[in-house]
Amino acid sequence: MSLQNSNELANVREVICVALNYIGHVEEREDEFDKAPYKEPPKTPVLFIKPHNTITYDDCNVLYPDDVPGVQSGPSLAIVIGKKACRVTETEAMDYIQGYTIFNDFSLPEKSYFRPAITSKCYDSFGALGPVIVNKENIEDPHNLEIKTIVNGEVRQEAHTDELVWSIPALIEFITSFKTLYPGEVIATGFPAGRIDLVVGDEVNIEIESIGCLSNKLVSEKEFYGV
Amino acid sequence: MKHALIEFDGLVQNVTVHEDNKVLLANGIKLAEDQVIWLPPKHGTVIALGLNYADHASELEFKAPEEPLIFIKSATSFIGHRQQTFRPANIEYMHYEAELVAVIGKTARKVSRDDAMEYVQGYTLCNDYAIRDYLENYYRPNLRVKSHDTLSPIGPYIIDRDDVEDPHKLELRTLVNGEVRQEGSTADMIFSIPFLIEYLSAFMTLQPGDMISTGTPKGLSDVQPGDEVVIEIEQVGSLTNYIISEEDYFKGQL
Repeated sequence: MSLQNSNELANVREVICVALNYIGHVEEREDEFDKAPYKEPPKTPVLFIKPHNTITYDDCNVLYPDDVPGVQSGPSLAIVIGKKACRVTETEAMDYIQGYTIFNDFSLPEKSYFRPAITSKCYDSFGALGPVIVNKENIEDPHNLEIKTIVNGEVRQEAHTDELVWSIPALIEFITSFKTLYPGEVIATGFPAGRIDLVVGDEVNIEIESIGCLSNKLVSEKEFYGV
Repeated sequence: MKHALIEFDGLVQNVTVHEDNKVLLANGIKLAEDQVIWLPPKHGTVIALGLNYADHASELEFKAPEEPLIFIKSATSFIGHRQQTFRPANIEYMHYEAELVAVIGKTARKVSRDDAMEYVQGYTLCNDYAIRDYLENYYRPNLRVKSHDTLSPIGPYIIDRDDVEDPHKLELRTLVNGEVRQEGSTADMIFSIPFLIEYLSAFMTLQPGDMISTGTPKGLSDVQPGDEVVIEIEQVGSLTNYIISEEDYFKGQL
């Protein structure tokens, strides 16, 4: 199996993420999404950005901030772009992928999807990425992979990439309709419904079949910043 | 002092900017404004404010927010001074937004508003265009509204903090083909620069080169291919941008 060095992930400036992209997730909230402030369910993929200060890697500590209502994990299969992609159609989208990795969108519990969730999702280290990029040739079908969240050795969540609302090619077509994707850019394809609550000291492993395991430990603010 | 990032002779270089936007290269050569390609002056994270002027919030029929409305702009959306922005075909409404940008000069974490200005290197301008056709009520304003390719002119340069007397007492305006379309004062910001630095640095570490685009006053209107759009902020400078059609943009990309 050819694994690429994770150093390639060291230059990632931001990660584009897709919210509400697991079938169960949108169904759960169908009634809510017909009402204000949403008025109707999303018409296009619901994207958000994890900026540079959030990006961290395998085996690194993740901040559990003081005085927050909680921290939750958000496991995702992530794609890494292999060549410049502008206005790519769904049928040719897979040609623009270099490979796959894992992303964990740490977040405070989200109360609403109306406004960008910056104050929930943009704490330092809240976006874990890695451990490696697996070349796309080594993954038979990215929509047929099991995702497990394991906390302190115990399996807490199991999901499957066949539950994506917008498939990987559909996401690439939509995003590149307005935003060029450049080599090395990362897109986290979606987060299963029912996020897992974490506490300080938890060791969170995200395992994706054929990709690997992304491992992070939640530490207190004092430990994280060393003050 | 004014600092810019430009491309000249195929080389990206840091320069200082002088009267009439003449550019001084490190080797002592002085060039006119139109002899160089102006790039975004920094490449940090851009954090933008929505509805941060009371008059603008009421124009959009929102009440002024009690907490800052913040969104992150994708890094790939930015272009420099005197570049072209394309207006997608088949849209109804794309408007400019004149904004004062505070550029972070040193790492800021949990900074109090009293100390906040020490972390500001200087200021630049952003024309934070929006394509309103793409608005939906999820993470509003979404990436297609605010992070479209070429949609975010920023620059031309960073002017040092101490060269601007009071960033909260500056007239700002937008001129389209020479006609004033938007006018306001940074005095009308709801959340000031020190407040925003305190607010943001409470949960995210701000790094040198990160930028806070502080929102826009009222006076929005549509722009069309062929328009020259100039943002002006007193004491800071002016940022020029040209609107072209989608068709012409993609012809130029071939």
